[in-house]
Amino acid sequence: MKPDPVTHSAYRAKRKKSLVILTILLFAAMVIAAGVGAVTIPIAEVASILFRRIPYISKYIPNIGAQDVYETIILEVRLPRILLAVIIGGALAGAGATLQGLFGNPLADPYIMGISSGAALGATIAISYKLPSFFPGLSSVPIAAFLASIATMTAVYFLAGVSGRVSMDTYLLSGVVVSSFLWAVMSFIMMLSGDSLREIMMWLMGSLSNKGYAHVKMAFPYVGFGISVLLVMARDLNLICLGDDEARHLGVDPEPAKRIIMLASSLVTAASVSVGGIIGFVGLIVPHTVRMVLGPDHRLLLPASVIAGGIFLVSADTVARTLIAPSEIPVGVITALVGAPFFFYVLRRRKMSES
Amino acid sequence: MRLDAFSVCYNYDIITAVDNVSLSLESGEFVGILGPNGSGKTTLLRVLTGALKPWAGTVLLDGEEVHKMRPKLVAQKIAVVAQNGYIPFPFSVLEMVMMGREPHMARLSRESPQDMDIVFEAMEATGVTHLAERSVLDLSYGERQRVVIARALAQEPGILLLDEPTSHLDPGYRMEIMDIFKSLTRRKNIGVLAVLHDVNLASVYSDRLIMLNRGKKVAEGLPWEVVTKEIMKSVYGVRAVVRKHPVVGCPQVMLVPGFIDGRVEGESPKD
Amino acid sequence: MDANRCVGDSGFRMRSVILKGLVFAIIIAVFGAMAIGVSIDAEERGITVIDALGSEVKVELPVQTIVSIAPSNTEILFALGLGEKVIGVTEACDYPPDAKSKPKVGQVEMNIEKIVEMSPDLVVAVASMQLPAIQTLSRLGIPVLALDPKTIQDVLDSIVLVGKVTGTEEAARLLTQKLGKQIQDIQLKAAKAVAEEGRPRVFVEVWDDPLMTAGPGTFIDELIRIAGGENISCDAGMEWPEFSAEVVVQRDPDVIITIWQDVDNVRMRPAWKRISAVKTGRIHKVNPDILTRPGPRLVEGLSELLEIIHPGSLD
Repeated sequence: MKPDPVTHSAYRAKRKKSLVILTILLFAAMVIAAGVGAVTIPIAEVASILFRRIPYISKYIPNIGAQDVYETIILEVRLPRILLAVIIGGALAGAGATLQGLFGNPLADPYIMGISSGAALGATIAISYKLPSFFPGLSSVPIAAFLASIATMTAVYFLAGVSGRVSMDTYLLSGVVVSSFLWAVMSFIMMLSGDSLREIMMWLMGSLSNKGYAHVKMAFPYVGFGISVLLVMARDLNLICLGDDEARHLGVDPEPAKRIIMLASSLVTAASVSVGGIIGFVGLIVPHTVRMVLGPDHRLLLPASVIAGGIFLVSADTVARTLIAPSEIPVGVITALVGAPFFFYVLRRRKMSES
Repeated sequence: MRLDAFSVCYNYDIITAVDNVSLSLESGEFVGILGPNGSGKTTLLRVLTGALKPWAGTVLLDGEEVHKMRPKLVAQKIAVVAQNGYIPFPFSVLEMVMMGREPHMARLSRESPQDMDIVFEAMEATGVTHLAERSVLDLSYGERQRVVIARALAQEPGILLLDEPTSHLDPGYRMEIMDIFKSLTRRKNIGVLAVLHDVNLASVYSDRLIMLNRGKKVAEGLPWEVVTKEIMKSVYGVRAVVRKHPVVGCPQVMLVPGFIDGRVEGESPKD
Repeated sequence: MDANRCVGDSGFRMRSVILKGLVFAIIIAVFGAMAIGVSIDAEERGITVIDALGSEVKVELPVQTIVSIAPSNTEILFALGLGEKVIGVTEACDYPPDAKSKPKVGQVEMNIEKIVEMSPDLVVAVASMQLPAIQTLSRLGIPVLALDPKTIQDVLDSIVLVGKVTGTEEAARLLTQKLGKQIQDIQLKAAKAVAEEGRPRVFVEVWDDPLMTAGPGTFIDELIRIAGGENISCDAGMEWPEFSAEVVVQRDPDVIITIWQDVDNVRMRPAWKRISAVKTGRIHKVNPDILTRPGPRLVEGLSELLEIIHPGSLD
């Protein structure tokens, strides 16, 4: 019997098509997000401002906008925030998809390794002791959060690795213990600094408010590097989620692969938590939903989750900053409010299609 | 291609699991490993794949020490079919079988048409092509096992290690799958080393048998040399009658239950 | 651009009339508060008042020992000359400096046991934040006076109420009169400045990440209005909103006031470089205590705001 050429090409076409569709959706979401906000800007002006920035086609775009303030709002306020939403959404969803695969557990999320508690402690210290900032446009909070989360990542890694061979259970346990310890330290500091309590709480809820290109520049290299590593490791992840023995039988040494994946996803999480705070649900439901639609093959699941995470967070943040304008809602509130019911809808639909 | 183990020992802390076992396997051979529960069969298999480093002795794959080779190179030559493990996500059958090509692919490459041909051929061989788009989680145990075998075939191995691959299957599936393995030794000249529970099944399919007990090799040879009432008695502690398979001609064991006292060898047991 | 969303032209004129009348309202209210809700039982030398929670608070006179469980209350008590009688304050009570040497009864959570051990004649609390502590202390038989001022007028009323309960009516009357006069003075100067230069737009940055400001219902909002400014976030719909950065850019505040962050933090923000306040350097850091603590020092905050919003108008 000859292999079935239809199934083969259909399989590859499906992968390519879904990534292209997601990328188009991402750009659509970004353009819409750039056009919508607390300040109403005519759509023609939005288009003119945006497309005049693109090389090659810029000379064909007339400058119809008379108002400098619109340009500032779109290019300096909305655009960095949109870029940051894409980076953080992609980072969280990518790390979530990875950790779900690594632990073979669809309930894993990027915060499971205790990275967020490290970031939270760093932010708490910076906020309560009012650490001075060294970088223009960037307060000391994200920097302290990043350093503390990297320290946490290292601590969890070495505590889990004392026995030489790292089992995922040890890793999880180590993450939980370190995390509880750090939350306790953080609560203590918060208690001592009654003044900053509210600000720390706001930071913990996660927000993309008031971010500039400095934040984008801070997060992007780490997220970009970490996600690239994860994409390269995607096929190893396919085998690792079937168990250590299976992975080895199919040619992947599970120990070093797991360490690399672990560190890369921690790095990605650390960078995104540092600039965006703890934004829930993205890392849990985006990969889960993508898996339900596109299947569990990490070579497709990882890039698709990264793009879908960007779409989701950009959309959620657009709602967060427009719904009760001129006030804003913490984006974590929106991701949870939208995410939880949508998750149930997907679960239900899957159940119904099964029966 | 050949796999040789020389005086391999492996201990779990102070418990000796494999004790000074040597064996060899060549292309086209079907070798069965027998032994009671806890006799070290599975540990031996893991030492042979390089997953466990032997405490003493060496394992050579075509003359190269297995536990010093990169796992990817080992996986190009040795495929393993174990009992079904836990699969956390609904991979499709096609995706699952394609994983068998991983050892042959460069890190960032996609499957070439040749790879896909091999994958579909492997699915054909185990009769799972029609399931290609289905999730492995929706399959029956037997179907799933055939998917895993197809994945092993897609590895294009020279040697296939089996760890009780049919122990949960109905007789029909069991024979079907054992037939697949046997035909591989003939058609593709693959060497098969199978840890088996079922003495009769092992006897039917194996060219040679190895009997393990408490980590030691207690017998090795042709089925008639290993499947004897004495060895059945000393290894499994059972009274057995050994007869010739009327069709295949290999030895078959019939166990004598304890309640029939005084019966002697040579008489056919009652129904 | 939608300037004057908070104070329209006619609204502004009306408001200045109202503001000029405020001092009369204060005086009437002072006497009003004296007249209602207070009854002195001459025989027991006790006093019963209705506090901000609507509960009857019965206190034996004379009050000799007082515990304050909020910084604003501590400031009121000291301003009424009751510093000697205050035997317990919180870790956050840092004004006046004498308050810092008083025994501490808690930080965010109050140490109920310690307060009970002190068995003060009166505890002064904040109604909206400290309900559990208030209930527990009342149940244990300790008189708790809950204050909850929402406006400057409320603060003056609270001072009068504390005066009643502690037997310092005269001091309270003098203090509220003095504060009322200062407020009136600032109002007049602000009105004059507004007539000359209009109302500058003011943005108060409470926090930078997320960007938070003081919305309607806060003292800051009220103080800005009295000091002749327009709070650009007066339509935010809540007291302490996360606020849209692009709206700040669009509404282009003439003055930015920070209360926690350094001025540089605002000045270095790339997206804000077009904002008038940033271009003209009118970014000021103000001690949050005099803008947010509902005590007598709000008037200090008010005069500082006037100086910031209409420089030179105080002289």
